[in-house]
Amino acid sequence: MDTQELDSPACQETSSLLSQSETERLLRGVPDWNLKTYGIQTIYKVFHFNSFKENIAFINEIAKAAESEKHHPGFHVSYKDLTVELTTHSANGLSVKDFLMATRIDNLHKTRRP
Amino acid sequence: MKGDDRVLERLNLRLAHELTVVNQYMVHAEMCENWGYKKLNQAIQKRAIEEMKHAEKLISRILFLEGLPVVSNLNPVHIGATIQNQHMNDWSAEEAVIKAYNDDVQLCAKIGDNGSRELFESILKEEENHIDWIEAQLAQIEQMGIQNYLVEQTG
Repeated sequence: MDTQELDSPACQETSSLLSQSETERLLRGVPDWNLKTYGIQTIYKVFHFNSFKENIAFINEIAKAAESEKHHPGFHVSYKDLTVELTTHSANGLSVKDFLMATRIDNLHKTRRP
Repeated sequence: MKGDDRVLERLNLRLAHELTVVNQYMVHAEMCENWGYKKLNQAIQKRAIEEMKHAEKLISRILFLEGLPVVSNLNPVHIGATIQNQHMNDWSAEEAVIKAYNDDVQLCAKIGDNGSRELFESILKEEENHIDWIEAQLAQIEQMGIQNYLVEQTG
């Protein structure tokens, strides 16, 4: 890691911009999330549902979690498909928060009631 | 800076714990909200957010030590069907992790990784505050009875 990015490694500001190698390491832990490298770096994942209604219900689940953590993803809805995008605007790219939210969303998806 | 493998293993174990309890506490908070216990909902949700911040700090430390943060590992979640059981399950989770963080502090002191030791210590103190709050709730239930306690939680 580039130590210039950190003031105090033990208490690093967690919305700091991740380096490329950090991003790659974290990306390995969140299956099916992809990296969009053009523009502001973003991670995204496409979810498929049985109905439009189910799709929107899942967005509402995510919205609840996003509100409590004050970290809000972007959504693109196309009938039964949902693309969720995560980035940290204050860091102008990806931070640890994005990967934690990705994990949270995956867990919500696993435990949801269709 | 390459970290000691033993410390990296501990950091990932604690990360799995923190991510697990975020889920457990958020479910408990939501159940409290559904039952109309607004004060409990807010208190438990606040605790969940603090646990999420612990997870963020652990990940940052793993990255600094050039390790691979494992965010997909979760331990079993223990959901309580009643408020009392929720508190008891949360107490067990906190008790276990307080012991673990104490061991982590000792390990880091022994091998001279003071940055990780400081991080473990700071999280440990917050976990002790969590268990203190839970113990106060359990004491109140015992002293005033569950019904009186719940009346106080409706906000």
